[in-house]
Amino acid sequence: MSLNRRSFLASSAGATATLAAPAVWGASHGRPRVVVIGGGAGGATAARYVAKDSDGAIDVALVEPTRTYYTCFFSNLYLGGFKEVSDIGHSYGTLASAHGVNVVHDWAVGVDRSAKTVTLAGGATLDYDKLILSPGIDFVDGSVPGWDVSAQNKMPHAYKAGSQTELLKAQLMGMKEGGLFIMVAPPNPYRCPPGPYERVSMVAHLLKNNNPTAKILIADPKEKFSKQALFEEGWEKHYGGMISRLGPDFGGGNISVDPEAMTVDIDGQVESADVVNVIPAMKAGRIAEVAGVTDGNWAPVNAVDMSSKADPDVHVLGDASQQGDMPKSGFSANSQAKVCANAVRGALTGSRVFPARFSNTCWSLIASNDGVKVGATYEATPEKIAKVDGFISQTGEDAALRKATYEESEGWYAGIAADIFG
Amino acid sequence: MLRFFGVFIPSIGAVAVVLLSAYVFANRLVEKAPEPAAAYMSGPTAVQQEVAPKEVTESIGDADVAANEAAEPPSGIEEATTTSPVSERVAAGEKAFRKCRACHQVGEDAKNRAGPTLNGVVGRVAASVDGFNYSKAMKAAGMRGLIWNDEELAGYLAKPRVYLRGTKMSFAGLKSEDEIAATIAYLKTFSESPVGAGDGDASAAAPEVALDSSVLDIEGDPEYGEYLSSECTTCHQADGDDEGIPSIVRWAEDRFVTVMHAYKLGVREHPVMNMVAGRLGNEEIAALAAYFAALED
Repeated sequence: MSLNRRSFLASSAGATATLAAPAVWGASHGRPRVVVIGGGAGGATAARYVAKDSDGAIDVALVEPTRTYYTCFFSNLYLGGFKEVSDIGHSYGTLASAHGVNVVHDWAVGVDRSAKTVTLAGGATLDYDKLILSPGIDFVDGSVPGWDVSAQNKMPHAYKAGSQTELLKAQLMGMKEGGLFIMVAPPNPYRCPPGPYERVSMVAHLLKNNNPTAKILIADPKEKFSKQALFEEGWEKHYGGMISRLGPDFGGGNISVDPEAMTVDIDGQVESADVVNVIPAMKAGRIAEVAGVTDGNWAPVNAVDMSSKADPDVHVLGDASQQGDMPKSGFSANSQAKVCANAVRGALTGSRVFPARFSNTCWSLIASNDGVKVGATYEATPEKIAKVDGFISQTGEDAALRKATYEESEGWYAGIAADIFG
Repeated sequence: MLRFFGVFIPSIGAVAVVLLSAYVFANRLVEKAPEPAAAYMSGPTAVQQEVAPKEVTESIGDADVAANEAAEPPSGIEEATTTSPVSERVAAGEKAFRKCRACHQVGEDAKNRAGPTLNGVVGRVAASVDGFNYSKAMKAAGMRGLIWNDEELAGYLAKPRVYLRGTKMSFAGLKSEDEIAATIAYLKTFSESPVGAGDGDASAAAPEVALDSSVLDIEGDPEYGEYLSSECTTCHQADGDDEGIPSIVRWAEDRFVTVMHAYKLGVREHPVMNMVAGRLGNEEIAALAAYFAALED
């Protein structure tokens, strides 16, 4: 990466602030301060856009514990063998060097909304004028009886990408011939609605190639799921007989697990499995609750600028927010982040604020070169983010269109990664 | 693991071998056995008969084919029927085109070789010949609406790699303006109509929607465009990179506006683009066009 004048100024400004104030954040300067918690599709995009578009007029700190962020989107393609794990890993170097974002690798453990401070696990405190929370998801305790975080090595969730995804893949690769893979699917609402079903497709693709007599069983508490007709058509076409799904009418909603015995109890019938993927019920990342902006499992927001209904100086993005009609997806979080960044910048510097507009598209891969997509546009209403218009791939599409859709998804991945991480 | 990847690795190797052989074969073919120009001629060469006196058709060597067909001469060389300079220019262009024939074919049986067939090249959008693997730079030029008119061709033929950085065409360029003009005149004889109708996908060149000048003349607000562009850059990369999704930076504003309206009206079909363009107003499209046109590297 080459330094240009702008990035040089940004980095030297940061250095000056650090010299003047040894705390992580220098409170002595007059520039407005934005703290972003969570460096995923929502948080990193918001940090980048606020910093980039304000051109140094706003100090931006991004708090994210991991040095390398693995995107959940495309992590299923890693399971299927279409991507390497390195393909879905991203660092924060460009946010710091090109945009002057102060990237703080630490956990945010406390938010004092009256003092407008964020406390970090390492002991430091950050002051903010505007706080942007984009903490993603955590799991609801006890939603799958028998499973908790201590069991995630036996029965991985792999729903926060990285080591969990690698673990699940290793287990699948080591599965005995003709073995059984059980997925415990989550109840609504959850991150990435087509995600579990794309995962099943990718696991089937992997097994078809190296363990073709293996079987896949989905225990699902939901009556129906995203892109259902498309997935079911593809499963029949590519993996006939390999995949079964038990919906709530067949006990798919009454599940408990025994990680030690590697068994899954489906409505009283105990199944022994070789690999079990438990995707529990979800809620907003814990810091949203700590900050006191949640109502139940999620954080309600105003659609116009993603500000919390509990505090106009706190914004909540992405999976953690309860906003209305948008699915919980990386694309949605990225879209919401730009609306939020525009509003935050306007509030802090008086820059022009434009009307909120949101969009989302989710691509899923069913088999090699068999991609499908669903998308919609959204607008802000006083009540919620409301859907305007949408589309979905059709069953029976020809192979050329499906291949083009997959190639488009690869283009999208490169695009959104550049848009998030610079 | 091995069993799984075993499926792919040999096939990647095989593709590479096939591509390499095809490349070597194509080059050897044209070097060792350049076919006579006559073999290339027919159809559009009717123009030759109209515009070219005896010596030209003789030099092309297939007067009969040409004589039996009638076609409107391309605009721009109508005067050729009464004066000889243009026909002389075409003849000179044919001679100059020998430098191109190592890689490019024209005429009825023309096929893509190291370079794409040049039938219909004059007036068509860059990178629009089916089945030819263009460079990223050429594809990007096509996407932003580069049309091979006289002026663009002249610039490109003079210094290809300066005029279009990143082109795969490893040719230093034609030396003189006369030689360039002659080559273009010659290539026009293989273009059935002067603008927008080549053998390739010329639909990209045609004005897809007839926009009122009041729409085309809207002066876009680049700052609003910058905000709106954030919806585009989730997929289309702001630095112009394209990996499965076309680049939209540095297009001519009129072209950007026309294409967006074509999506908005459903003349162009793509579910995401129809949806996104469908809710953009005229001012918003103009703002986006202004912003992306001015985006720097």
